[in-house]
Amino acid sequence: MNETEFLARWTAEKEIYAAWGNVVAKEVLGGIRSLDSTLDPEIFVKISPRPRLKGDDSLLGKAFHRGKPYADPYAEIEDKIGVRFVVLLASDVLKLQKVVESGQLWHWSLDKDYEQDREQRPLEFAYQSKHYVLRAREDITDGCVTIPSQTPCEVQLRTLLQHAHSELTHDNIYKVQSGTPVSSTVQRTVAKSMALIEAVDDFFERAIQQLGEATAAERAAMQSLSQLFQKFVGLAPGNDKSNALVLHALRQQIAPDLHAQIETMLQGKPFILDNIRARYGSIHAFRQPWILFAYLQVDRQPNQTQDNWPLTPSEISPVYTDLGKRMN
Amino acid sequence: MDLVNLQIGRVILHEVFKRTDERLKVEPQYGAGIEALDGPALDALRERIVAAMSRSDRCIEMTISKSEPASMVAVASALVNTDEPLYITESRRVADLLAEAQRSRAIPGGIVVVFTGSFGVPVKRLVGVIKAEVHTGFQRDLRDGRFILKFLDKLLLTPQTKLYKIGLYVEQEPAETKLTEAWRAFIYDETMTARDPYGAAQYFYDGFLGLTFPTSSARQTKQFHDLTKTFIQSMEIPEEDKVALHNALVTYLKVDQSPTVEVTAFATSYFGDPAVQDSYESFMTVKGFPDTAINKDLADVERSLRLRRLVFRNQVRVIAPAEGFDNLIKIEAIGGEPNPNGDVPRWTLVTIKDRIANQE
Repeated sequence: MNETEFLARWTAEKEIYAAWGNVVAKEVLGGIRSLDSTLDPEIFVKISPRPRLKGDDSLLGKAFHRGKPYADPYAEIEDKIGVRFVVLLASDVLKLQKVVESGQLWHWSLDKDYEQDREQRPLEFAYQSKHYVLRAREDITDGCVTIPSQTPCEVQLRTLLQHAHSELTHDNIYKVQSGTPVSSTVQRTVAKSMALIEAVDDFFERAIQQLGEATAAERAAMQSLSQLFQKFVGLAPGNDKSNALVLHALRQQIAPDLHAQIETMLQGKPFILDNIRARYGSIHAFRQPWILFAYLQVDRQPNQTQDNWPLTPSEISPVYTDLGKRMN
Repeated sequence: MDLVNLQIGRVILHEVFKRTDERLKVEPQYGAGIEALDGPALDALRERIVAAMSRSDRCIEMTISKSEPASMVAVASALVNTDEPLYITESRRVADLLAEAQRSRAIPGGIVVVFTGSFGVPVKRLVGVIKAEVHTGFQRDLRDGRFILKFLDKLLLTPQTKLYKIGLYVEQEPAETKLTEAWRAFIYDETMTARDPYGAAQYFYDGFLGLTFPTSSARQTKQFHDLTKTFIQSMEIPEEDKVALHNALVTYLKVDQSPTVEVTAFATSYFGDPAVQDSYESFMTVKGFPDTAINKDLADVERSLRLRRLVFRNQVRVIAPAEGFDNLIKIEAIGGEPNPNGDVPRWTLVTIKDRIANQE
């Protein structure tokens, strides 16, 4: 296949590859939500994963001019279409890995693995990313395009910091052909930044972990309250920032048997549920799971709750009135 | 009282007037129909009633003394069972009773709010009357892009001013035919003062509502004193710190000008920590102490309030007049002389602010 034939075929099949890239991107984003329903893919993935077709020149260069020994360059070049997923933490990359490796629409192979690189070359700090090649398991129809089985798509997974490093070196170092003189000082500087990036990635991980441990009780309470709200109020629980504020401010009052305490309270005072439902449509506070916790605390410790209350008094005064108590 | 789950049913308004110069009764102006209050208005009314009645040192359970057919409790028991047209006419009797009771020219007129409702789990029915004095205020209006102050001369039931009195009848035993047994009665009156707990509002609770102060006040005041003492002793704080709280109890009962004894009022005045306030209030509830105010009657507690006794671990006793205790004696915890092991024992430094008068 010469360059002209190569280009003609590529031009004809671009649409298929583009479609495959879109399918892969959509499938991975959907997979994130199925893996963990608390993850919002829009927030979890830090840079929108837009599939990118390889440019004609870049493709021809790779196929014919870089001295790569391809027997069938068209079939062997696997990154004609690529999708990149950038996340905050190294542990997020692991989550993405699970999603990619459990995908139903493709076979996968690992093309580049930074974790393996780290093990094999512990003294080296170079470009880090996880590259998969996904090949369609069977023919897939997407709109009016049919994607033939075995069509490849390259998927890159990285952290934000790895991405920053890659952006810096992309055209400057990584793709430089062997033998091109690059000053050793620059190489050294880049290696130093990579080392730093790896260290910072570790610190990020630790910070998030410590943060998670510090707020574990509050998050568990929130989960419990959301379930109770759904189950007893029978309407969709809200999930806005006021929940974290309330639970944090009253964290000393969160008991390990919170779930049971609230169930007991609701059995004894079923009117609470009627009042929440009646105000659900018109008052924001009555759509938030913390409202159940507020009823519990106002009932048991009205003074302490008022003392620690983080929002405005008007947001909790109906709870006091319902329970026959007054705010001081 | 905790008006848990207060629901308001029918609300009607009548107006009563001050007596004429000849001290003759002016006929009340009767409301023509039931008020149609929307959600926020009803919430505000509930909030006013709850704020007044709950945990307030101005809310007292009373004894029903008048129960003849023309009495307020008789009207209340009729009102909970009537239909709407009859409610409108029957409720006029409330305004009539108040107009009759207001014998002095000094007593202002006002709006009488008569409502039915329920509270609690399981639900109890109730009938309430509010006498709200009308006062004045301003409202800010926007006209032609400019703010203007609009004068309002018929304001009532605003949260800041305490220009209202409430009488609340709660149905205790629906099957009971004797009205004094079937109903319990509570009043709220912000103007009640220590110097004149009975006089100022007597026309309201006695003449109008047919109630008297309960005779059990002295016993309950004693119960308050004993339970509070027990609570203070059970607190996990150093004995020296409890001295101040025991002094506070004496002060609250003997010196404080409040005409009533009430759990929350004591808690908020003398226990700084809200967590301690909560545990004190729930302690008193568990022990069965009323959640209303008690008419302060020191007859039974006088003896206990006369002397304070401190017993030290080495059998030394200090007995002193309870009133003004902290002006007579100063008590401090100090480190004593170290024992041979080097441990410093805790001693107490007692300073008696006078000379010895006598000894045996």
